[in-house]
Amino acid sequence: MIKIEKRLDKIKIYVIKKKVFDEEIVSFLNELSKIIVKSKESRKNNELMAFGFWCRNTNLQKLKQRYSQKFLKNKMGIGLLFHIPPSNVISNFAYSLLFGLLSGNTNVVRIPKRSLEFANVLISFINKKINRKSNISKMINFINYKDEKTNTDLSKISDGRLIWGSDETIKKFKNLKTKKNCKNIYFSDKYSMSILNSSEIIKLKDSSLTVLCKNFYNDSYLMDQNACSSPHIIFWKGKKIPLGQKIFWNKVYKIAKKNYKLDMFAAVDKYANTLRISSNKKIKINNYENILIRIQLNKLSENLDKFRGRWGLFYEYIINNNLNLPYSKKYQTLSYYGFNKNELKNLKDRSKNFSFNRVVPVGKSTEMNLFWDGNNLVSILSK
Amino acid sequence: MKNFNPESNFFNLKKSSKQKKFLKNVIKLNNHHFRNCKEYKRMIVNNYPNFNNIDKLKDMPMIPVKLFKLINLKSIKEKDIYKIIYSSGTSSDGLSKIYLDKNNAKIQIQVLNNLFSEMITSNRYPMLIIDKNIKNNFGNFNAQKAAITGFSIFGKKKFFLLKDDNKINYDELRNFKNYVGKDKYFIFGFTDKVYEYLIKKLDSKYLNKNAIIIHGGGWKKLEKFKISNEKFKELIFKKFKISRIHNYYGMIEQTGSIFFECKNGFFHTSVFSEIFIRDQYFNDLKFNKKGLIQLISLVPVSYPGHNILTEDIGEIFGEDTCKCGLKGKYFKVYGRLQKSEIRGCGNIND
Repeated sequence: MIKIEKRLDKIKIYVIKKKVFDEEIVSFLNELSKIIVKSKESRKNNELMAFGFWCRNTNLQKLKQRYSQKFLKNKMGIGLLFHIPPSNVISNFAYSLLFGLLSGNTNVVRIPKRSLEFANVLISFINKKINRKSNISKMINFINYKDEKTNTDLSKISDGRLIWGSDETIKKFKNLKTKKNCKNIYFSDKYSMSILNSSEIIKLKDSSLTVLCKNFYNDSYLMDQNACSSPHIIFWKGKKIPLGQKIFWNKVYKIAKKNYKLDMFAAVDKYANTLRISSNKKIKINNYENILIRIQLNKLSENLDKFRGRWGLFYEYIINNNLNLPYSKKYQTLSYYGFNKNELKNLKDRSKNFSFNRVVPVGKSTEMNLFWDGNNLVSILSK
Repeated sequence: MKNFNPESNFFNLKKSSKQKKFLKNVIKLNNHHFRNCKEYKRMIVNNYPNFNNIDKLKDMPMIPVKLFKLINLKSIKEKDIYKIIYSSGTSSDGLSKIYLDKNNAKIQIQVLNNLFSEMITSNRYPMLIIDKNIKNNFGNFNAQKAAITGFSIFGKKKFFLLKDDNKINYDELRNFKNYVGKDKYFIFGFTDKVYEYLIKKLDSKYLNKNAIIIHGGGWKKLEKFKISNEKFKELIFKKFKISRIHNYYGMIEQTGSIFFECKNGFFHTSVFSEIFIRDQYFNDLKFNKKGLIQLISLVPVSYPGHNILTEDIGEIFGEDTCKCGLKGKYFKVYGRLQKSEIRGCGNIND
C-alpha cells in the first residue's frame, strides 16, 4: 500500500531506473486515468479531472512523439528524484511525480499541507490500480514533514531535485548539500500575461464568448491569479478595442460573480491595492463590485513584473503597434485569443523583449507540459 | 477646519435629527481632505468619478486601514505636523502612520473627554494603569502609548502597575492601596494585560471593589485564551468583586471617537461616529448580519481617516432601539478578519 509517510526512516528507498516512457508505466498511468475520469470525486474536482485526462494514453503518446526513436530507446532515468512542489498549487505535486515517472525515475514527493486532501484521493486510486509486486510501486513515495533535516537528508541522497518556487525556497535548497552530479531543476517566480484581439472578440456569438471568458476565468481566478501562469496584464490589439473590452469584461465579471468565492480578506486587500496604485497618478479604473477590477495603464513601466493582480485585479494596456515589453527574465506564459499562427509569429518577430517560455491559447495557461519554463524535463532527468 | 459641536448630549440624538447634520459634516470633511491631501484626491478622482454627486453616507469613499501602512496620508503641511502616531502592531505590512497637528490632537482629547464623561463618569479618581510608565519608554509614539496617554487624563493621580521589565511593581501597588483606601478609583489597561495581570497574577487583597475598570484593544492577543467578554467580567467579579467594567472599541485611525460598551454589552455610535457593516462586495449589510466594520468619524481632520474600512468583523443590532436607553446604532465586535489561504505558486513554508 502506498501512503503518505511522516518520516523519512519509514520509507524504504529502492532506487529503480526505467526507460523513459516505459511501457509498463504508460499503461499504469492509462489505467489510473480511466478510474479517475470515471470517479465521482473527479466530477466535483476540476483539478483531479484535468490530471486524469493528462494521464490518458492518447495524451502520453502525443507527448512521447516529441522525442526521437533513438532517445526513447537509449535513455533511462537518473535514479532518485526529490520533488519539492509549491504549497499552493494543489495538484502540482502530482504532475511533478508524472514527470519523474515518465523519465524513468524513482520518486520521493513532498506533499504540501494543502495538497494532502487531493493526495489522499489520488493515492486511493493509485492503490487500486497498482500491481504491488511491480517495481512501479517502489518508484512512488510520498512524504509530508515540517523539519529541515528531512530536506537535508533527502537532498544528500537524491540524483535529481525538482524545486517549484518560490525564489526563497530555491535559495534555501541551493544551500543544501547534494551529490556532485545531482540534477537540479529550479522553477523560479514568474510573470504571465494575455493578449486579446478585439476584432475577433466583437464578432463572437454569446456562446463562444462564454467559452472564451470561462477559459480566461480558469486561467486567472481559479488560482486567485497566484499561479505562475496566471495573467496579470492583458494586452489589447485590433479594432474597436473599447467595445471589445466592454464585451469581454462584462462576461468575465458575470462568470466570476457566479463562480468565484471572493473572501473578505481578499476583498479588502484588492481594494486597498487599487487605491494605493491610484494614489500617485491618473489612471482609469473600472471596478465591477469588487469582483473584477480593471486598471488601464497608459505606459508600460520598467518594472512591469511588479504589477501583479490578485483575486481578480487586472492591468490592461492597448498596443498601438508592436508589443514592446520592458526587459525581465520573469516572463513565462503569454496566453492569447484571436490570433492565428502567422499573426503570432509576426507579433513575436516585431516585439521587443518577447521572451516567453510558453505561448498558449487562453484557457491552457495552467495546463502542465513536459517542457516547463524552458526545461526539457524528460531529457534533463534521464541519461 | 472645525468639527461640529452638538447642542445636545452625545447619545441622545435620534437618527432623524442626527443624519442630516452628520452627513453635512462628512461632506465637509470629504472636501477638506480632497483639497488638502493630494494622494486622497488622486484616489478619489480615479475611483469615484461621481464623487461630487454622492449624496448618501453609505456610498461615500472609504479608506481601508491597511492603506495607512502602504502610503503616507496627511492633510496638513509638513511644518504643521505635531505628532506622528504609529500602529503598535508587528505586522509584516509595516506600521500605520497617523499624522496629527495640534488642532486634531486637541479635538481627539475633547471628544474622548466628552464620551468618557457621558458614558463612565465626569468625576476624576485615582487611576491604576495596568502597564509600564510610558514616560520611561522611548521609541515611536505608538497606538498603545497614545491610548494610555489619552485615558490617563481621567486619573486624578496615576499609578503604573508594571515595572519596565513587565514585572508587577509591588511598592507602587502598596502606595496605590494606601492612597485609595476604600474610595473609588479607575483601572485602565489593554484587555490582554488586564487579563494577564489582574485575572491571572495579582492577589485580590490589593484592590478594593469600588473600581471602574476601562479596558479595550489587545483582544487580538486575548483570542488565544478563548475568553468571552462575559467570562472576562465574571472572572474579575469572582476575584475582586468589581462589577463596573467597561470595554471600549477604538483604533488609532480614529482616536477620540471610540465606542464604550453600554450596560447591555453593546457598543454605541455617538453624534461623532457612524458605522456600517459590509460584505465582501462592500454591500451595506444593515442589521443582524456579520461583516466588515466600516467606521465614520468626524474627528480626523489632519489626515483622511474619517471614513475607514477596518479589518474587524462585527454586527449591528439596531439603531436607537437598544434597551439601555442610549441612542445610536448599537453593535458588537467579533474579532479580526482572518487572512485567507493563498493559492498559487510559491512559498513552501507549511
